[in-house]
Amino acid sequence: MTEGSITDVRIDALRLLSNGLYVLTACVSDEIHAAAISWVSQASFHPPLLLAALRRNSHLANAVRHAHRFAINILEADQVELAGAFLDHVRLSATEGTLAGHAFRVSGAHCPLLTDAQAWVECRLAAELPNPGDHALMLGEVTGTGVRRSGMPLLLRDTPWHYGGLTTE
Amino acid sequence: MPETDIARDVLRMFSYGLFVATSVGPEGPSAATVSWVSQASFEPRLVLVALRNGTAICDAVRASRRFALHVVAAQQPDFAKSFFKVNQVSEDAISGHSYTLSDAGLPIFDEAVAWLECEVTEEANREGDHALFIAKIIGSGVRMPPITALSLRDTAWHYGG
Repeated sequence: MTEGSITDVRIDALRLLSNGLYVLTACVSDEIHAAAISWVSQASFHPPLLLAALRRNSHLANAVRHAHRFAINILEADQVELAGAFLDHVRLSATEGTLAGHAFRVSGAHCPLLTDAQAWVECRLAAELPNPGDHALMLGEVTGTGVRRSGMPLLLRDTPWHYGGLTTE
Repeated sequence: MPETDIARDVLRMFSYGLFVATSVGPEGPSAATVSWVSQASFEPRLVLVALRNGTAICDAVRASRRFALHVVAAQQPDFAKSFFKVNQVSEDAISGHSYTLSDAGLPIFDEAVAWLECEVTEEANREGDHALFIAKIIGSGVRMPPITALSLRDTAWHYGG
């Protein structure tokens, strides 16, 4: 089959990639940035590396470039509503008490961690990979992790949203 | 980072699908089950795949610059399991699974429910334990919608940590 034969996004193979849904956070001086992301994968065991694809010119990508660090907050299967609070980019001062209505703390490594997330990963930005596409590929070396609960993680396909395939629509 | 059990547990909380990658290198056709896959761009449509360095599939993709990714459906765990090990390649089958070569020269398994055909545009982390291939989608197919893709967490296996 050819590329042109994809006529129905509902059967688009790109919608079958089994993505999770996470909240990426970064702190640039005293400003916190957060947004839900889905295109994430581990990329290496030794050292432990994670890849996160962020829209190239987004506030979030720029925040990661400036902070040189980011955290990925892992949500539990029943936290669809929490994820929904971060579909749009959230920006606020680190002195505020909540992030889109959700409690957080800034870690020693200067990453905002959502208190309600079941687990988190902190990364140092190791590289931004060459990508001819519309997303920046942030390669992060894992520098810290934590687990609060070990529930079933949220899958994008169990939410009303999708991110993948032909368009974002 | 210290290799604690916590780090392993958290890295295994990330969600992945299961895919069978195929490619044809100088040594012939090759197939392997992979899970570190993500879309990487809408326009152009790109995917990103991490392949363990030193494996036949990684060598084949590096040499040919092309690969196919077959989505493993929820009811096909055995299809994925067939490609955990070194392949048995015959005239028209890999490890007992028959395939047809696509116009792009990529083996597409007859039992595949959905697949992508990809051409590598970038390779990164070549010296790492996994090479990262960023690839343009040059073809795709879906045979039997609707499809529920197999999630790694719904299997007895894991890859991460």
